[in-house]
Amino acid sequence: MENKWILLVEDNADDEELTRRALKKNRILNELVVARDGAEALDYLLGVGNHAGNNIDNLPTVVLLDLKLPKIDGLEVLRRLRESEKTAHVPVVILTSSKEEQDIANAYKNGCNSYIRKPVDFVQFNEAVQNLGLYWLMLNEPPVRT
Amino acid sequence: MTSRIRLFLFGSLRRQLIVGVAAVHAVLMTLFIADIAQKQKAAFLDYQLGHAVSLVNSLATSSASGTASHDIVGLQELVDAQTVYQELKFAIVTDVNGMVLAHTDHARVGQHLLDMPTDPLLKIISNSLTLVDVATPVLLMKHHVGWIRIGIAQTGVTQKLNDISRKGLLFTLVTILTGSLLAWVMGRQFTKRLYVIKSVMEEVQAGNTAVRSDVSGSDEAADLSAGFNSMLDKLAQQIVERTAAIKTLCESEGKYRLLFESAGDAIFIHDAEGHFLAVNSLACERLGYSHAELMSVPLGKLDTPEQSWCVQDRVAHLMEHGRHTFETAHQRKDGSSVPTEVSARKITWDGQPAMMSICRDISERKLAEVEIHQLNNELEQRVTERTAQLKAANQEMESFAYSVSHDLRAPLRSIDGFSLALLEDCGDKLDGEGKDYLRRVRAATQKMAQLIDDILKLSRVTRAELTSETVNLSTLTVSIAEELRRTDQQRKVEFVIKDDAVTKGDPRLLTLVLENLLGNAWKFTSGHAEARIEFGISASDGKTAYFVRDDGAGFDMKYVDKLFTTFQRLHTELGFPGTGVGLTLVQHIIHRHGGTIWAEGAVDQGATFWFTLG
Repeated sequence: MENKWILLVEDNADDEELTRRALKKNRILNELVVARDGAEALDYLLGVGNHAGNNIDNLPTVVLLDLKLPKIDGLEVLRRLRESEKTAHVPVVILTSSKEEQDIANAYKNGCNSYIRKPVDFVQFNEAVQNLGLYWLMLNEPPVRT
Repeated sequence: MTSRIRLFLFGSLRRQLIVGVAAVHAVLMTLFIADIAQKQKAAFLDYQLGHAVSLVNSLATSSASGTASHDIVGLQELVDAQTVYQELKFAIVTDVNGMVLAHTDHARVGQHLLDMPTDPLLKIISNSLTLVDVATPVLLMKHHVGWIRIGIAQTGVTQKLNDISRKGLLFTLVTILTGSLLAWVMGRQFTKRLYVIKSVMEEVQAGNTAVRSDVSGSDEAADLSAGFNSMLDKLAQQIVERTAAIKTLCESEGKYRLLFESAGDAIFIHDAEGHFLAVNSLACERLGYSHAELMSVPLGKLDTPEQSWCVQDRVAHLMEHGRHTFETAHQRKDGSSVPTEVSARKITWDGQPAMMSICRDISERKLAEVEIHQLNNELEQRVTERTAQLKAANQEMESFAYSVSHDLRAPLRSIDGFSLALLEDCGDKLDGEGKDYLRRVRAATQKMAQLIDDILKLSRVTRAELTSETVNLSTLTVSIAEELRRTDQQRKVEFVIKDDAVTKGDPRLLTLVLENLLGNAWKFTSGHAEARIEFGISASDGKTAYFVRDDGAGFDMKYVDKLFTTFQRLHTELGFPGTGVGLTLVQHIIHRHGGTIWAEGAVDQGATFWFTLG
């Protein structure tokens, strides 16, 4: 069984730290890989650019994708992931500050699996991360790799 | 000479009358006298003839035997005895052959008379005033034995007849004179009345039109006089009328002149061939011609060369339709042009078809049009620019809102997150005060996050497209009420909701309105053990007004103006948390629906919010 790991696409270091903290507090100890912008995330997942030669067969169990990202924004990342045969079925959870209807609609249109708004209240954020980890890492059956 | 005589005889009615009467008398009397003379003459002749016949018969009888026996002596005596008749011219006895046996003229005895009748019958050989000559056969025992011939001549008859004629002439003259005299008198009497009329006529001719003839009676002269007077009256009236008509005409002509010359537009009147019949002074003034010059300008030269090619078409159009309005440009004498609006119509001028063109100088209008056109263009450009700016601003606003929603919240999350981390990880190093401060920091970030959310909501409402659908506010209210009840099931709140409040509007935005109003009612009744929240309908200025009423904390009407101001709150955060954006949002949505919202309340007496939709 492959190692279950998480790809967090997040440019804000504070948010990254808070996410890590929430995961840790909820004893989700799976590997957390962080991409600082959309381009890096794509390079990493598709094994191109700076991450050429990356073992792209080992896909993350879930991608936590922020929408507002430097270089390539979250929606574009999502669109390209869905375009690529390899990553078309990777579970992608949008984890963002925005509650704009347009964003939610576009995210689902581009094939996200879930949309979670980051609460300001860390207690709530903590709960969200806990539920998220429980659901995507424990309950959810990931797509079968070919 | 003849004319003089005619003038003398027929120069006046009187003379004509006298001459006529005299002529009538003369003719009648002459005929009368002639007739009498003729009858007298006939009577004489009859008498003479009778006398001669009786004498000749008597002689024939008495001389029968003598004649048969040719007793010449006896016969001669018998003949001579007849000479006692003075009128007797001759008495002759002849034998059958006409040989004179006895004759008053003895010398002729023995001669033959050749003019004796052939048949033995009484024969009148001559019957005239000068001689009645009668012959009769002498019969003895019915045998014709000879002839008796008698000649009688009454010498006085002619004399008498001449007398009769002379006297008749005298009578005729007397009658003519008397008749003429009478005629003169009558004529004078008769024509006197005519002369009255004549003198009136002469006076009228002389200029005294007021005079009238005064002839009384019922004869023709009186009729004539009356007719003449009536004719004079009519003439006088006609003169008055004619004078009035001429005066009116003069005035009318004056008015027309005044209008024509003082018109604010140039007026041209021309015939079908394009020759000017009249132009007013403004036309001359505007085009810089003298009146005579302009009158001789051909119609085609009135317009600028650019316009003159369509003059024929315009005239044709005018002839066909009777009127024509168009814009053109006239050319002044100096060559400059005048933008002109022409209102032309077909008229009759001195009995001939003509055209009248009323020409308005539209230079100023043209300038204004150009200006308006420019202004329009500028305005359009400005609108385009402004629209672009607005679009840009809108886009900016959107990206700003997007940024706010993402970026403004991120630091808050950090502050809250790390404050909590600090409490959790380093709680033992902080005293009570320090922990309280961190809690305050966290509460502030929550508040800030709520504010950001509300502002974003407001901005979304501003930008959102408005839809129009049928919305049942009653069912919306029911579901919101249920939602509110779920949040705090301990509270005793009675909801009174009017059924079937159906309207048109944007369902999502109207849901926001009701959520806010009912949420407020829920919030501000929280201090009361039991509460009543009502949703209902009432009329306001003929429009349907919906209202949400509660019996909660209410507000002071002094501050009613501040209710709908963003971030303005009438209550402290302690009792009733909130950001002060809700009612602004509600008002905004109501305004976007074309409606109004207003509120009434009193402290601790509750509040009512009314709103209309369009």
